[in-house]
Amino acid sequence: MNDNGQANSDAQANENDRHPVEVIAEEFSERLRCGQRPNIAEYLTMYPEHAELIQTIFPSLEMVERVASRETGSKTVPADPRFDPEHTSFGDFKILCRIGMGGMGIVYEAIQQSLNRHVALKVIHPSSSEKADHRQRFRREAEAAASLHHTHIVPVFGIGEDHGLQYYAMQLIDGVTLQQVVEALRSHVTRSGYNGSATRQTSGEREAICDASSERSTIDVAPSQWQARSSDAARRLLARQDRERPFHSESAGNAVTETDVNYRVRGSVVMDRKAKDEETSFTNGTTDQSSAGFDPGTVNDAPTKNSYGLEPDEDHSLDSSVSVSILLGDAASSNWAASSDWTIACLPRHYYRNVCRMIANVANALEYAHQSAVLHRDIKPANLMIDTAGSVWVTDFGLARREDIDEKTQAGEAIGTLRYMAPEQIAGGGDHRMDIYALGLTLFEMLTLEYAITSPKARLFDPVKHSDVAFNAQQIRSIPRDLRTIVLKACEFNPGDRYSHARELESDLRRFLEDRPISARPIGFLESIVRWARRNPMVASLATCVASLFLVMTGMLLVWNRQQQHAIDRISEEFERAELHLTQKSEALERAEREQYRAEMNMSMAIEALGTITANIASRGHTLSLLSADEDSIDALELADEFSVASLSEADIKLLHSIQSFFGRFAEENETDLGLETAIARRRVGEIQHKLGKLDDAILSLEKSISDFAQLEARTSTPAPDDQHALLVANITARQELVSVYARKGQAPKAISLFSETRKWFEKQSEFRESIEGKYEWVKLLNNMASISSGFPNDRRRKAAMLPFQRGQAGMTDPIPPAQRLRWKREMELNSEALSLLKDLVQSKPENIAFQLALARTYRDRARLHRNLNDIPAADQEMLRAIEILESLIEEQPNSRLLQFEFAEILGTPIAFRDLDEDRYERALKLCEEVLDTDPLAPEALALKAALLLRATYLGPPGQGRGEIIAARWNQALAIQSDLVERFPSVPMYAMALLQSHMQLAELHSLMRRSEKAREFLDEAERLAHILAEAGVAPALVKSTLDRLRERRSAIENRSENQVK
Amino acid sequence: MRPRLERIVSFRMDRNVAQRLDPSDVIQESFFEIERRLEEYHRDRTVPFFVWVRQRVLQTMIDMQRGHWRDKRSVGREQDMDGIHNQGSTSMSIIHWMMDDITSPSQAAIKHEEVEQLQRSLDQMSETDREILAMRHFEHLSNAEVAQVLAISPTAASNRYIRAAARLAELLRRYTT
Repeated sequence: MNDNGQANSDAQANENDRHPVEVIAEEFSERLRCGQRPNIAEYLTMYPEHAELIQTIFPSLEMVERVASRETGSKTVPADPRFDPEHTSFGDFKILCRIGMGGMGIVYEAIQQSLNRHVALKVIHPSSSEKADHRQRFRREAEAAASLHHTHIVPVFGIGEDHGLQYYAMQLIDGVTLQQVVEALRSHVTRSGYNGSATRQTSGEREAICDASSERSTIDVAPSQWQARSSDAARRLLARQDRERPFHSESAGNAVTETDVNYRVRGSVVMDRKAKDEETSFTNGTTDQSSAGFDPGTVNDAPTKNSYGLEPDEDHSLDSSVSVSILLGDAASSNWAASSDWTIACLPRHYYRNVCRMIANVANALEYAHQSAVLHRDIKPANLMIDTAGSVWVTDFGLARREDIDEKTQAGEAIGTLRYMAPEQIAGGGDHRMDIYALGLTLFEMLTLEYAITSPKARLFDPVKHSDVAFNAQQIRSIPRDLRTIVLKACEFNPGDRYSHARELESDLRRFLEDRPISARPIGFLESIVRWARRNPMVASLATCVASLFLVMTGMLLVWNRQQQHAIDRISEEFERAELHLTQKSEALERAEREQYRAEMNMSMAIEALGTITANIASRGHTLSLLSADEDSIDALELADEFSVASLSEADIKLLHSIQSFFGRFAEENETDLGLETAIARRRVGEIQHKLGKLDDAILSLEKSISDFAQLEARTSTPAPDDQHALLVANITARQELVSVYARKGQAPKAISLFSETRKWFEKQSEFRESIEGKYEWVKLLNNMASISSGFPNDRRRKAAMLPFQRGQAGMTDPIPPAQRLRWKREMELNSEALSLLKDLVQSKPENIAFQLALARTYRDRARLHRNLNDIPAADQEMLRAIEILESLIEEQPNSRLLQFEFAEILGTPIAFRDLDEDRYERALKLCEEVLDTDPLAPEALALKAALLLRATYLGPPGQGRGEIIAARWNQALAIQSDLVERFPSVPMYAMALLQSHMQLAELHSLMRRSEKAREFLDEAERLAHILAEAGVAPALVKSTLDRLRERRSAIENRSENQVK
Repeated sequence: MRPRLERIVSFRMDRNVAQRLDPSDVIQESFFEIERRLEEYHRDRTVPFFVWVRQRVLQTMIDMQRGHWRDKRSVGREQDMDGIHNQGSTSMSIIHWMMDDITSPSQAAIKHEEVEQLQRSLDQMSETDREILAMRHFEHLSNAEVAQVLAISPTAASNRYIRAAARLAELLRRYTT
């Protein structure tokens, strides 16, 4: 694009004919806009020929600029008579030019005449209320600082006093401050978060930025120069470095394009894994420039001091091709690839490492100074410099003075400093740990490009409230967890909670760099709540309310077995209230506070707590469904949903609904910023929906959560291996659940395709696949898959009418349909895979009971499959294995209730005592009794006992006097079940079980030719069914039961009629 | 470029709709327009690019403001909204800009004085002088850009700027003493 034609060339031709004062005025205004306070007197001496005009118009330009910058009018430095620009030397030091200006004073480049060396001379701005003892103290401290010799501390050559001003001579560092680097990065990193803060600041932020930049504003160096240098330094930080290797700067100029090419070639040919990571973390979209060229080699030699201010300010605004590219995001426009603009989408990983290395060096310097009993007191990005060799330097050691801070704070000037001050320092005290704090904040800012503390001024009034440091969700995603932990530990509010020495901070940073475990631990959920509550009593009351609610609920559910049914109602109500409260409160809270609230609440912990609740309810359901482990009584497939619902009490359902809506709301609100947590919440919703029998909704939720997980995985910025792991676990868990839901829905093909897709996915996760956790999760999925059809054998309606021993004669020899046989065979293969993995797991972690239990269950499932395939000896053998495992486990821990229960459950599986194995049966009953000994009212144990008693029929046909024994046991079972129904009237499952028992008893009595008794039981069953029907629970299930009842009744009538005949 | 445009828009925007209209929305909207008309621009190229973009952006802003007025009030308000440089609008913009950011009474007091001085001084100035100062100091346009907007030579723009600044200084002095 050859732009603007005539107009522009005219413009260029005439550019030289501008009014000289207008040119000067432009620079003057520019400097004002940068937050500097240019001295009009200076211009007068510089341009004596225009003195009159400058004198006339500059003060009003200053005023216009002040108004236009929306600043309050109190920012000009009061003229100090001692600050005479005429001073050309201070003691031994001859001033060359001004290189910086801050709240503390002016920095000059000077020559130390006696040694003929260039130095940076800082002339301290006199405090109006300076007292003699203050000056002495300052002098003492500055002398102490001058005695420091460290590779990362700017050496102090001397201090002195001249013209009534104190000065301080330091080594001249050719470099930029970290503050400038951060600013450069802010403008080059395009991700909205950073840009947002640059373009859409609140007035407070804008003010703060101006304040901060005025700390080391430049005088004799044009802003564009500094920008270029900062941007170079920033690039260097973005580049990958090999350990401590110093940056080598190449001869600049056209080397840039050359190394760009090299980079790309290397990138595509020899790309190792790390380079790959690196490449993907840049945007590939914007320009060539943006995806390459961050090699240290591309860094130009920073311009030498002599060239300061001489290079023309580049102005792209008239270059239409640039403008178009920027405006329209036109990636194709290659014209500006050569421009100095470069952007990246987000900070690459090695940037964090480079920053870490740098801050570790600073910590090392601090440790050295602290050892020498010198405190810095004013660590902040503006006081840390990077030189052209890439080394970091701590400047201004010992310069900060308490009284300075007080005064400047009053004058609203020390914001840059206030922002990094430790709370105890604001309160007027503090020891070396204040430097650690400030360094922590600096690290935070380098990592996030955002201020750790957003309202520094407010800290004066309430440091407690405004000193919280927290990463937002986006930062949590992109910054490695260990690094975040280090930052948070360094910035703890209480000095006692911080690193006690800078060396500890340093060594943690080095550990991080070497990928070793760090010493700092993230504070736990409870601890963070407690600490936070200490600091934010008001907001905390709500948070702790919700949090304690989670804890109470979890606790309640863990001791669920007692008669706490009514308590759950209360909790559920409380929960709803809390949620309502949360909604109202969060609307009322400031946005910032809400962010903080969210982070502080540590939602993942909350989700975990709620997850436990869900799982707890779910497992209870599982236990109850054991009532029908006598599989044939399930009317299978189409009623599965209702069956599942029936195992829950009303309170459960209510609770699950409220948890579901909480998760649902959570998922919606945090769609964008809390990826993993949101996806997990969604999965939880799916699990609950599954539990509630809303299978279609469950499928939707789970599918969505799985696609969320996939997206998260695709995001390369998910850094920490731990997080990665959690993500994979969460993903596979969702898949396990979805497989079961599909199975429940009878959508076997979908389950199978999901499974094979999952297998492909899983095989790609090389690390995860080999990890113990990964294997275990995979086993769980295999087991779910392996029981899809064995859980629901064909054509059970016919068999359902039979008692077990009847089926023993007829059913077992039924030919298996070929399709079914195929399915079982396939499941057998999956079962074998799970088995071999589990054997490995058990071998590698013999002490893990969960693995052993899973192995036992897998053997049991295998036994069931064998039985289905009519391979009875094999079934017996597998069952034996399962029993053996539990036998040895229980031997080790004879009093474990969990093991007793598990064992009883496995022993109680009908196939376990196919051969009239009374021993096993009695053993199961005994184990059940043991559980009940410790907890006589445990409903699951009672339910299991009843189920076992009902299975007495397996002991043989009712002949040979067995009928009475069976009847006695059944009566006992009935008593237990009736008791359960009485205690838990709102759990329909108990009533359902009781109903089924009645039906079976009716059948038994009918067989024993006691039609009267049989009829009585049928009547009772019918009565129960009607009660259930009236309660409106599981209508389809109840209806089919009623149908069956009628069938039974007529069968019994027929039989008795036949008998009569 | 975008931050500059946002600055320009927020400076020129009608304060009565500022509550409901975000400068960044205006920029967003105008970018569509610019993209659509880009070819047209390249064909004619009557003005430099930046000037054209600024025109488009401000036009979009006016259109959007108009939309708001239509929603809220009668069409009567539309009368002098078609030109950017209509009488009085620049000083209104300046005044509103100045008053926008005041949050505390003491701030207000300090500002009030300056604002009043500036306002009275600006009122006394010619349209072009006021316009030049506004573009330079509120919109942050460069001399060359001002020249392009006003379709005069940079030399003329430069001289006029100095003249306007001197005039302002004189007026301010008159009000402070």
